[in-house]
Amino acid sequence: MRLGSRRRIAQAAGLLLGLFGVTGIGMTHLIFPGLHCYACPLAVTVCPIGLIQNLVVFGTIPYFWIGAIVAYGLIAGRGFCGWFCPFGTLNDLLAFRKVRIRDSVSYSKFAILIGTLVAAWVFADTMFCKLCPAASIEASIPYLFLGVAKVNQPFLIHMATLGATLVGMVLIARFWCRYLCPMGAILSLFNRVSLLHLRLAPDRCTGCRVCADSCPMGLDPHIDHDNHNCIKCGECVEACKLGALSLRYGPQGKR
Amino acid sequence: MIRRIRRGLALVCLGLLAAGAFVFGQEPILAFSLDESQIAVPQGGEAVAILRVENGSVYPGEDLEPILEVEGLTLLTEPEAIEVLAPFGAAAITLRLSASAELPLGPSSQTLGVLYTYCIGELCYQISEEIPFTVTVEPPSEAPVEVPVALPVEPARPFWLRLGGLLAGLLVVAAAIFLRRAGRARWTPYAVVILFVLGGLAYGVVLNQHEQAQGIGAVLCTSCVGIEEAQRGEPELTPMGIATIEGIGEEIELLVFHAVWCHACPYVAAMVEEVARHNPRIRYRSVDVGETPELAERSGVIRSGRTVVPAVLRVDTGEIVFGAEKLEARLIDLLEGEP
Repeated sequence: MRLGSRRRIAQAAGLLLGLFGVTGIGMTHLIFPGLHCYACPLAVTVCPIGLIQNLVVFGTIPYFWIGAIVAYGLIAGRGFCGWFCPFGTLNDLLAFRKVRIRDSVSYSKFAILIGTLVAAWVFADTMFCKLCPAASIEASIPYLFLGVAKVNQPFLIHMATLGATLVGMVLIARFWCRYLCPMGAILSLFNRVSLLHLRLAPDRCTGCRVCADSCPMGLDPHIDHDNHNCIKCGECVEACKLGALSLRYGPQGKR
Repeated sequence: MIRRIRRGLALVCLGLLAAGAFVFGQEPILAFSLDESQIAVPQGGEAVAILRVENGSVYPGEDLEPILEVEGLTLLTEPEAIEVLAPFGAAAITLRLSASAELPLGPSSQTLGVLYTYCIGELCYQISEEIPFTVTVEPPSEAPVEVPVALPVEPARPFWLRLGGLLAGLLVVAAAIFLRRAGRARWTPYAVVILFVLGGLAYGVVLNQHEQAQGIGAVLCTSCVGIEEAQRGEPELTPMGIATIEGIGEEIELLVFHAVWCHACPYVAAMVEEVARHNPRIRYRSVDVGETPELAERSGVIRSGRTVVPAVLRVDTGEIVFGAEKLEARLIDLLEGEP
């Protein structure tokens, strides 16, 4: 089976887990390994960003949260963005323009992450959730149709952030994942130790840059194959006809 | 040799994490305990007990008020009752119990209630806790009541110690990642990270943080995710609203459903309190959906599989008002509805 097909199946599984509430099992103790709003009427998992904000508000030292997040980092790092996260999948579906922008700009998502935590502390509220475009799709819109939400100021703010993010996604492939996602920022810390990783065989690489042209994150896999932004989607692996790049699962060797 | 040292280090880390999981602990917002779970009190006499309280959070607990609702047993108010308990602080309250002469002899199980206010910034929640204890009523005694001295207490597990433990663990993980990047080590750093993960998850479960996560996910706080605007400040009724409320002639009971992390709930609770203040026929009770999810389920405070808060239920009609927007008008509609 082609790598792309496997990834679509994994993304479908991510979506299935995100909407597993359709079975009626209700909320579980599982923290979702991506950005998925727990307020979604069909959610059975807890949003890691929503949860950490609540824990900051209550001053809880988040042992359970850290344990789960480090586990996800170890299992796949940002591979969850490329293979599992439903909001990442939406980014994927709108990834028409694989543009390249300076790598340093991508650190903006760390500012979002820190801002999210600081705002939770200062305002004693889940401020990020009120702007989150994933919540717009997964909570605001469904609850509008279910009669719980109304077209009010918070709803319009949600729609504005969603609209801006969708435009960004269309103009820049994986716009949200690259520059804004706080969960992506957390997972990227583990990219260089995660068991799912991209491997480069330098003796096969001719430097043709076909991998760089195919990368939705605007990276150079032939130069920096374990970049913190790599979502391990495997687009470069499929693009490289010389077999210089491969996706592996296991401990990463010396860089 | 180096491999052996690394393996040894990994085992030491495992041991430290496992020990840490049971050494350090996390309590609810305020944790209460009685020095003696069995209190002996003579008929028509008095007894004294020490109630210890520990604040495990970053915000202060305020206006602690012990409540005892047992027939024949009275709690004499103590002047030292705590007004403000600082974050991570601890204190002790001396409780003086007075028994009536008619109280039957023998042991009985009772519950001591404690009401306190917990404020996060400008938002305040009133929380009630219950502490079970046993009272043994003894024959009348002439001996004077011995009042034990409630010494000031220190928190058993200070916040900085728990935070320090976590940071030390993260440091170990960072060192493991560095070892991996240094080259030769392959599996040992991964083993250390895996141990950290297992330790974190296990300790989180010991502290019931998995339930906390599930609770936060299971309850939809309408203002938290931006379905409606968070209402802050004092709720005020309009003169017309007050007149309408005062004119309601029937007995009505309301249940106000709230969750600890719900930011709109204190506003709704205060509004219902204001309504009840203007008409004594309207009674209300606060229900924490985290503590009694089954009551929320029975009451139908659920929409699309989510318990939605804040919600106000009129008990006799089963009608429910969700959220805090335009609350006065919707509450009046709820109160004026036919039973």
